Amino acid sequence: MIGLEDITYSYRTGEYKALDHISLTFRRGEWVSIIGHNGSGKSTLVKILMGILDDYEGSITVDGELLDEENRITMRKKFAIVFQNPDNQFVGATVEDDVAFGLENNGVPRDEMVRRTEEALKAVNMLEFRDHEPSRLSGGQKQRVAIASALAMAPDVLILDEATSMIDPEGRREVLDILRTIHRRGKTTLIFITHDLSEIEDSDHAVIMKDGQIISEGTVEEIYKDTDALLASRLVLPFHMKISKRLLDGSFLSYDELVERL
Amino acid sequence: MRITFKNLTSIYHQNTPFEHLALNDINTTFEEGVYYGIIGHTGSGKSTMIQTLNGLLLPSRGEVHAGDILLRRKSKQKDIHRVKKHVGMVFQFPEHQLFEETVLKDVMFGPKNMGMDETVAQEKAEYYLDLLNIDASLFQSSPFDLSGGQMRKVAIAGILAMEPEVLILDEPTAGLDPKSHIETMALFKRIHQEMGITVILVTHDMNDVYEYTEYVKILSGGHLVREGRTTDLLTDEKLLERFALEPPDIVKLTHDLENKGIIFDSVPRNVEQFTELYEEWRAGNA
Repeated sequence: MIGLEDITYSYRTGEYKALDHISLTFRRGEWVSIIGHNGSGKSTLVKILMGILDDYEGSITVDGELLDEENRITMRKKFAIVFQNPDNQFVGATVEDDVAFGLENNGVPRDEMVRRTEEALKAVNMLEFRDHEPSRLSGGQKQRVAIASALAMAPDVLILDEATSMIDPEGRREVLDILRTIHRRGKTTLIFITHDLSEIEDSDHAVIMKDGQIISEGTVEEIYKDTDALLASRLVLPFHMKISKRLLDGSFLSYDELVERL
Repeated sequence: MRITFKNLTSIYHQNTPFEHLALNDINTTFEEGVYYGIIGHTGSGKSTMIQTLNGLLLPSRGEVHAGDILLRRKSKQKDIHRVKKHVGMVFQFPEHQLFEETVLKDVMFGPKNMGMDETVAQEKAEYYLDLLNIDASLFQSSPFDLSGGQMRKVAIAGILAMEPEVLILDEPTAGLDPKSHIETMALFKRIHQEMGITVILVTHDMNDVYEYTEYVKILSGGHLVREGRTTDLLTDEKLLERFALEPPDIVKLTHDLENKGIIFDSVPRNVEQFTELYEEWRAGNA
């Protein structure tokens, strides 16, 4: 479990607070979606979780242990991240090399490296592409390889920083399918950053951030019903919820339930 | 300006082991003043088609007729430049191309580059910035101090200020927040209506194609496999499935309701129309 307690951060002392008294809990195996647009503070939050920024106010505990100077490097290994742009995160000449890269860097023995690379590629349905050149894959495939590279490191927490925003609808569906599988296995905590409300439906908990603050949090249903927060963050409801709102008083339901009820 | 492709073929890395046929013997026309959508799976040839439309790529075989200008494999720079003057292109993330010291200078760059004198370029720049609701108080600001949405508007103003007759939009809403997405698409609709120019939208967003375009061209594996009215092609779920395209949300819902026996008099184009038609149906069947 990760606990953020009253985190505040400014890039320059005394200036605008990129994070303004944020408290949040991520339980093991939970899927938490963080929604908000550029400048809302979500990227700063990611940088703090990844240990890139460490001069924040407040405290962070990871599995009961307070994060400090001494344990920062060990703690960092519990986190892995997938970024927005599928083209900016490859280092290997083949898909397999790319996934193995992080393991090799960490001095994982060869046998284990091969095994973990294979398992990770299997988890994202990309094993048959192991010999392919990453640059020639589709956007969705690239992001799946990036997820495999992250998973190979056996992180406790997988952060997806707008990982679906630059790929086509099919790729997006592929990535979300993989995340659902990971979520079902229950071992990895998912921190999913997006501004597309139709992508958060599988999350256990969702948070809307604006100007460095949490302006709404709860279940997906609670988020969908928080019209003020949605409006303030320039978010729009997924298609089926828009229809539900117009014709069925905004009941929280799935697409199939909508068709049923109309 | 009318643009016609005649037996147009485009080959990348010709005569190398990487040779790739991106467009294969395309014959089609973009009529003046129409809002088109070009759709197709990733790798279907969409990008090649739009780059060919504005002279960024020359055909390997065949011809492009843009008004009275002819482009072919060995066309001269002069002709290419003439086409570029009339065909404006809004690339993905156009704000990445801003570079001038001030908003006004950035928007004036294109018109000046096309040979307009300073005064005229400034008039155009001010006019289009205003059209896009960029307040005059921002004209002397650095474009890099603006918000992402405003930066994109400035970049678009820069293209409109060249007063193209054809405007190509390549995934124009990629990376925008949902509200800005809606605003940007509404803006292009307005530009199309008020300026009467041809708009060519290339996107994966089938909902936008369905709501905004009048005609669509479907590409698959470098072939133009179908063209016609948006309302005819995008409501044909079998056709869409064949080319691995998603039906627009409204179309899918309308069809799913038809299967339940809820049949509307016409096909809705957007959520508002759907709501109206459904309420009419409900009133008539209560």
